Amino acid sequence: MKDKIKVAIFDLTDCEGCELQFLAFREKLLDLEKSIEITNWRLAKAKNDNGPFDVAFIEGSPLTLDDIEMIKEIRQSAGAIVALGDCASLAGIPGIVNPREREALARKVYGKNYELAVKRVYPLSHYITIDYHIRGCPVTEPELEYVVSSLIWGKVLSPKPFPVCLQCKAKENHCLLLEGKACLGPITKGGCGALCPSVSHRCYGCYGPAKGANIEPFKKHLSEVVGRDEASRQLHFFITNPSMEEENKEKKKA
Amino acid sequence: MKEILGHYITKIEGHGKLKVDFSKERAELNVDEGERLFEGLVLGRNYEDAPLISARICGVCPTAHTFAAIDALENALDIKVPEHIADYRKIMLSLQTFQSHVLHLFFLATPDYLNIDSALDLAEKNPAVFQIVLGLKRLADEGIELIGGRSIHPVTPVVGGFTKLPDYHELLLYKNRLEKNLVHAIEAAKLFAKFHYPHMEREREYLSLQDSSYPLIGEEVISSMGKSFKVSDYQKNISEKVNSYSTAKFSTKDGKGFMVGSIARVNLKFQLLNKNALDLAKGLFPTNNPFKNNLAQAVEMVHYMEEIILLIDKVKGADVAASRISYEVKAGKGAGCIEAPRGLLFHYYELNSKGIIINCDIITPTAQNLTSIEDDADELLKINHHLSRKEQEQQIEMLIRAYDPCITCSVH
Repeated sequence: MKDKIKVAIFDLTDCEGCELQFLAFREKLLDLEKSIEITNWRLAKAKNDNGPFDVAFIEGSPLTLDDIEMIKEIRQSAGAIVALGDCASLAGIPGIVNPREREALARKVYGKNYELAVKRVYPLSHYITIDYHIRGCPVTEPELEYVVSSLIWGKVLSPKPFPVCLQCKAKENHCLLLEGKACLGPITKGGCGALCPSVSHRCYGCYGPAKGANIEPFKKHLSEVVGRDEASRQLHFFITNPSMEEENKEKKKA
Repeated sequence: MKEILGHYITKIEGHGKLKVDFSKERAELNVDEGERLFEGLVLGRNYEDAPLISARICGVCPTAHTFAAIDALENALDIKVPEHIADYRKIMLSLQTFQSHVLHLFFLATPDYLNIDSALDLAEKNPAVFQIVLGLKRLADEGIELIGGRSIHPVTPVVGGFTKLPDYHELLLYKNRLEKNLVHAIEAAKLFAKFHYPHMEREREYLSLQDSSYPLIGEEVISSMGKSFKVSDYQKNISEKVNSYSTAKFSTKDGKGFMVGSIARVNLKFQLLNKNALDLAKGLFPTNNPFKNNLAQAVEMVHYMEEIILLIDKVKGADVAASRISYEVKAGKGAGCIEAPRGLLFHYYELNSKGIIINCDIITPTAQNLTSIEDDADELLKINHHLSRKEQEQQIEMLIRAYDPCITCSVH
């Protein structure tokens, strides 16, 4: 039998909800352990190996200098890197405010002379090359299982190129957007099984933008439903990220 | 790779490093999480976003944050929900503590007492117990999923109730599974009565909520020192300070550290534990030994399972279609408090007339416990001279784990 695949699971600044989905595997984790060996997982193990790893999962936002140094080190010692969840993949929740606001908020919380060590929130891909992104806040157990088993069998990973509405329609849910609610299903990446609309909660975009999502016209429509300010707040959740938008604007100027 | 990956305390939620000055017998818990600024992230946003955003403070106790936010917002908007909605919330809060305690007891704390590297090693060392643990983990996850929509970052709980409640027969099927698993949970909890806890006693103040049953949600905070205070007055009673070595704030009450969470609840509300939990706890509490927080969590795991069974009986016949009440959005301010797995969780919001959040304050259980953790660590340094420095550090790390700190929560 070939050697076990060496896997590491790292977390940066975040809620740790995505990595907990590994524990949601339960019995399957024992099966997986026949093919993979988790050699570094701070949350679950005392003895942690410094690499090399075949695959490293990284969760969270790089918000400290240690975080940034660490992911660069991991890039050196890992064959493939998977960005686990929205914080790693899209700058997630910390990215919902722009850099200027972030600085002001830090001073409000920690005192007027407080200096942020890392001023801007970026996804991992700003600092290192990422081989695969798993979206979701949190990621779902089936998708995580799909990625891990594909890695074990050497299968090519294929992203799901459809929005939330596809699975929502298949479930024959009532359309919340047509009911005048700010449902973000049409522009949000699918794969969650249309979880929120299925329990009568509007989709708030926690899988991030779908591939090719036509965001501007949708924003116009949403503005008619809930007003311009609220439409823009709703998109500044998981769909567009003020931190990144600011960066793009500055790039254009330069 | 450099040491950077190695020196965070393992098997705790979040990033903390232990710094010990042996000559001064002083320990510091350096909290190294990046600034998360949740109290700022919600400003300028619609009140309905607060439960969704604040759940992301913590992947271990998102359901607790969701309901603390909802409680505070309903106080701000003068909303009173009907009894069955309050009961469904209590089921969810009981499930949250059940879920979090299973995770902490068996996946994070047990290795300390069984001298193994990680809980996965339990699969080889004691497969029977490991199967029980996996069963309990599944049960807790699926319970939250059944009512909340998903096990982490639930979606159905909203201001005014739930977007949807499950059919009652699904709850009955779930209750049946709980009853079958209760006997296994009691067996697993008994393990914690047999573990050897390091000897260390230190008097301190304990705080918990006053509730009609064993505490879950309430409007008054009670203290082992006798003086209670209203949740709406929490900012007058609990102070927070910034330490330069930590992105978490440290709380004090009357200038001193105090403790919230499982030990505090069991010490203060022992007589309200459900039957099997009470049998387990008899003769073991009250205690002033912080290591026994793990024992208190084991007792509570059983208690909350029994509580969910009782509450499922109680909501029989309630109209699940009436899952949400209507209300008016208006300006207001309100504080809310629930018993999260790790103790008192305060949320406070101020809204303008359009329901936009203009002020927010959150104090998490771990932030409240941090001062007490450091004081206990100092005490250990005083009584552990006979141990090597490495052994002393290991024991302090074990103490920190026993508190089940949620570092990510403490830096919110």
